[in-house]
Amino acid sequence: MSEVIRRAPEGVDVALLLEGTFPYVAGGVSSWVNQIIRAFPDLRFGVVFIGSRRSDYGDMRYALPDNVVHLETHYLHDDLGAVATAHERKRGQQGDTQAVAQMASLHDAFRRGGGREGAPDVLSLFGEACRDIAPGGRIDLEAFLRSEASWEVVTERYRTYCSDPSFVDYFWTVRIMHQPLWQLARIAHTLVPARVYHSVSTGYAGFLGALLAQSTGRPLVLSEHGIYTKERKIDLYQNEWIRDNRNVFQKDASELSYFRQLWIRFFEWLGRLTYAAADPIVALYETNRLRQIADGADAARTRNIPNGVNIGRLAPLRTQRPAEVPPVLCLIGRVVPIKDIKTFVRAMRRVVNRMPEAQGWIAGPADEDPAYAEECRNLVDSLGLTDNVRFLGMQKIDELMPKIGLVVLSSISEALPLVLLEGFAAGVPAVATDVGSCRQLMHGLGAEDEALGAAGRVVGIADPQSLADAALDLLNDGAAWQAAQQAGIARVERYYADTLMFDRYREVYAGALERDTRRAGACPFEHGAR
Amino acid sequence: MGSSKLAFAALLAELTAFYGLGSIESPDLALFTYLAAHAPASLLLALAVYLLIPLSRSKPRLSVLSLLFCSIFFVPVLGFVGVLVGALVRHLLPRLEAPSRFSAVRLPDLDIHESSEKSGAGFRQAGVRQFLKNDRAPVPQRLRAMVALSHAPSRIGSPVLRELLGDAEDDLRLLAYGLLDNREKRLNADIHAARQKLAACRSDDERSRLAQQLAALYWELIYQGLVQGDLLDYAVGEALRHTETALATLRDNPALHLQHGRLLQQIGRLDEADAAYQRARELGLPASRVVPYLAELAFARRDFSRVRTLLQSMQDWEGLSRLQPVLKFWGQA
Amino acid sequence: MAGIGFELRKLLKKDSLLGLVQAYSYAGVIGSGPWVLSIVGILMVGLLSRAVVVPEFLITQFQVSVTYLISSSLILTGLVQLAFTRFISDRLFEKRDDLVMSNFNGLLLWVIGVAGVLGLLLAFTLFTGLPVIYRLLMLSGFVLLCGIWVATIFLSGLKMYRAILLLYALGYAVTVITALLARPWGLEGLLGGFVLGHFVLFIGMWLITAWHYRSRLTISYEFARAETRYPSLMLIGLLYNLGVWVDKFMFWSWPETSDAIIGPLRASVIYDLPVFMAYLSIIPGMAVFLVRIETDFVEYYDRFFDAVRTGGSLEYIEDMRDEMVLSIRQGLAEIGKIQTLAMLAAIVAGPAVFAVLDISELNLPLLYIQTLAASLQVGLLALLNVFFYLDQRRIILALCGFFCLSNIAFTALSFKLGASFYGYGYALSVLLTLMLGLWALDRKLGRLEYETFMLQ
Repeated sequence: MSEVIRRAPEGVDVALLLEGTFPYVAGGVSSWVNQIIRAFPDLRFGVVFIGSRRSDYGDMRYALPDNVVHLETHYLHDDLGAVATAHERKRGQQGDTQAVAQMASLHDAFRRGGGREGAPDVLSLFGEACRDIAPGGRIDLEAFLRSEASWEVVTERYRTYCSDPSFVDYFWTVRIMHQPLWQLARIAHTLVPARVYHSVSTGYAGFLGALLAQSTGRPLVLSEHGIYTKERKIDLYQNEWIRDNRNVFQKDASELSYFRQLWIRFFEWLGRLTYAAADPIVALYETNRLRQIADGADAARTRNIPNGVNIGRLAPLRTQRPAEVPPVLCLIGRVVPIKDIKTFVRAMRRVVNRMPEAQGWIAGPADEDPAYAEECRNLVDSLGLTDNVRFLGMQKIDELMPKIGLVVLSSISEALPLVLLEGFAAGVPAVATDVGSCRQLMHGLGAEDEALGAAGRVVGIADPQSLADAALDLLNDGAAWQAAQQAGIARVERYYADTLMFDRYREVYAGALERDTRRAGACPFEHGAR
Repeated sequence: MGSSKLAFAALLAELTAFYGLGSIESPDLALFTYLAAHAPASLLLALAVYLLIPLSRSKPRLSVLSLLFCSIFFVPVLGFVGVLVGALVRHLLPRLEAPSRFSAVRLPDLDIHESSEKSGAGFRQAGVRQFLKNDRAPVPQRLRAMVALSHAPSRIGSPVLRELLGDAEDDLRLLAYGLLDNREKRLNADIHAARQKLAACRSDDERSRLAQQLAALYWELIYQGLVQGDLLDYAVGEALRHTETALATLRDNPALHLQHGRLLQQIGRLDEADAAYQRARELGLPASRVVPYLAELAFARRDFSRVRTLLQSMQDWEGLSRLQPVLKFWGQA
Repeated sequence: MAGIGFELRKLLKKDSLLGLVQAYSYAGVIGSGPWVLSIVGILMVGLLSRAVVVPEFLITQFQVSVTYLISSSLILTGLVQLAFTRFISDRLFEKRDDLVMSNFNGLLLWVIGVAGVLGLLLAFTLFTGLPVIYRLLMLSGFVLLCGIWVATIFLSGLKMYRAILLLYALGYAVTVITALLARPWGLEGLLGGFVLGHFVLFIGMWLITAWHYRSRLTISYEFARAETRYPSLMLIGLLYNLGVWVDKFMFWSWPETSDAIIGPLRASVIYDLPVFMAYLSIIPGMAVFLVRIETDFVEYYDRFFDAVRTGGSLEYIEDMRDEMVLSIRQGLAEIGKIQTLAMLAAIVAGPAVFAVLDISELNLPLLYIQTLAASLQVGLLALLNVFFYLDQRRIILALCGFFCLSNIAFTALSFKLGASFYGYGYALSVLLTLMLGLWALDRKLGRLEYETFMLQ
């Protein structure tokens, strides 16, 4: 189910490739995209939204800025792109054996690993594969789904590599995994011209960027907030739906379920291919940049651009605060497993034991993962915390901040969370888990930054006891709280103002646009061709 | 009109039909005459049969009547007999049990799909815990060690996994978290379901059964090491509360007393725990299940001679393999 | 016929000669279908009556009348036989036993109604002028036979093979005995016996079905809904039965090969007896194949699809496929052996039997070729059976269509070519259909996994 909501047939300056974020999902990354688009009113933006199923998303969560001249949405699990009639489906087809064999050797190259020495091989095969899976290519979706050649290669690889006996699971895993790629190829084929592609993650959106860069030769900018591959891994480690059918004779206890490995490798390669096509590759902070390099990014193309918040808007909130610090711990974020809401709830058990008037608020949409939200509510109930923990749903930051005493972040993975910065700017210290750049935000990075003091506390993940103790420390000790507040304000004003971020992105876009112009000048005929 | 009158009329009509059959020369005309009389006779008979037997409950009426009529009309004489026999016999004969259509279950075959070559050498490192905590070991190997650990009993594995939550390596941390979280998730889902049932439950018997189940689930959280600190206290409190609820009605359930004792021991109410263990023993729980806890209790009270006496009483039990080293230690001297 | 395997395995597990005999007679009776039984019954009535001196032409009239009853009722109910079999097994699979009985009654109402009206029309048109009792008995017989075919399907669907077997035995015993007792009344007497026997059979079946279900008589027509009508199965049922009978009808109506027997009914003395005798040879072949397919093939078939569904390895799935192929191959080979024996028996015993029956030895070649054709037909039946398991309705439809048309064409051709080619038309038609079916099966099984996974 693909839909074009705004159309700019003449093309756009920057085409943003967004997977599961702006404008249909609220959250840190989406807010960031919104910030960037509004910061460059002179650029014409196109947005390609890629989601799972239409029904997973509601209405737009953001008013579309005027400079978004093109918006199209695609849902990878709704429209599987099958066009065959019932009869064609029954009959099957031969398929292009040679092209399929080439595809198999690309996969062999994938399996050999991502060492730099293998890279040119992979990239040339990948270029070929991009052309093959494009509409009209040698292996169209029908051929992948139903040709005998494709069956041959799938069974052959099953025999050679699959350590899980279940063929039916292997078969469907492979199918479900690859089918979206054909859809992405179709999207790439029909997308309006753009001078620069900008993807905000690797994964499917990044892969689309790589396809586009490959077929048009235009620059691809990659800004990674979290590390997509890592977040997928978290999903995969926690997911119980991935089956493991090995029996006691076939099982090697130290081996992860084969399908889990398959998915992990799949996303790792989506990442690698995106890195190979992107320049520059932007991370939010140093640890993530190093991780990108470890995952296959070329160090020379990487750089850091931290997030920033609008100080001018948030600073006035400090004056609206009551004289006493309200005993309210607030977790601002979507109710999803990665935020580990449960640890926050558990911590509230201890906080309430020590400070019965304390409140725990969870401010963020709960509709993204209803099952998880339900589990969280059940946990609140079974810990007897119904009077102290509230799920508020989406809240306006400006109204929320003055009412709370602490921003809490119990996530098991984060990048550079905007909510901490917003809290600091609004004069609210924080307690956060030691993930992503939280330690850097709390304690500073470098001597000068560290001298500003601690803007809160950092604790280990999934440790409700320490989380509660850290929060109680700050709430019970007025002086400590004040000191943290001041440190936070100083740090955010000095290092994380949005103007700094905009300046750096202005450079990024200018550079990419200039490269495009140079390229078009050097080879005028290639312009617009694909 | 009664069914007997109907049947009588029908018989009369049918006889008339047969009479006609004998007296008319031309076969075609005779057949036609017969059928002309046979049709109303069949209808009357169908009606009579329909009323006579408790078929009148049968539905839909028109279809049932048509079936009766067709059978009687198209199969002269015999059709009538058949319908009567069918309708009557069905009620006179006892109902047969429907043929059972159970299916035989097959033993699973040995699937030969070979995996050992594909997965490479197994993880053969002794001392998983040390290995996992060695942050200079390569990450993939540590990941595999952790996956292997996930197959260990939760009580053993959970503490190690918990330590690794603070590991510097993201992947390890996340996998450890995922493994712990899954265990906890399953138990909490069970607890939630049991709580819901308890809240909705009206009968006392059922309530104590559910309370016992809930207590066991909370104990499982404690036993597997999935809760710490205040949550541990909370879980012990809940388990104790539910155990006591259950004990209110299931006073003679030895297993419940044993569980009560263990909870009391956990929170240091040693005298009460002792009493609960004794009660469990009196109610018939085998010594092999109670004595180890009594010994543990004595140990907690620093009453080592009693520990020795208790454990020496167990020397003869070969079955308790995990306890053997302990027995051996206390059996010396 | 699914489910008979369970019974068969149980019998075979007894591991005794008796069990073996039982298993094979079960399989033979169920597998070759009730109509072969009817033919046996009719031949028996004929032979026994001949022994106690009834005018020859009466026996012929009786046999021909009954043959027409059987063939026409089979063709008529052929429309619903397969579709209803499928309907029942689907409902039983869904555990909707309540629907089964009421739909059986509903279908029965339809079948009796249609058969009755059709019978009446014929009684006043084609059969005009014939004795009233004869016409009434023919009408009753036709309606009863249609009902019996439907009830047989129903009972097979409920896997009550033992009951079917016993009831058929009872019904035919009654037929033979009453026919013999009533022979003083001539044709009407013989026919009366036939009708009474089948009446007992039908009532017995109906009672047994009713026994298992609630005593309320309910009727419903879910089977007639669009989604459970299975038009392809209806067409297959019609075409198959038509295909089997069409050459006989042609021989009966072709003036050179037939004589008028009674009223509009004609028969072909030279063709009929060899054909029916040849059909007797179906029974052992079918028994052997059914035992093979229901015990071995079905087991591997189940394992194949279980493995596909529940995550067996590809190697295992392929092994099961190979085992399926092997069991089919063995089954066909065993049919080959048994039918060779049947051929030999026909060649050895043929002249003697013909002498007893007072039929010219000139017709012996016809017996041989018909025995060969019947043997091939066992193969074809077996093949169709396999295709039904694989739910390949398209292929079955094509095969049955081809069988029906080619039988018409080749039989017509054999008329043109003259008396020495009689019977070859049918044999050639079966042979070609069988070859076609084998080719299709080979192709189907060769890409079974591919089709199962990639083309559903």
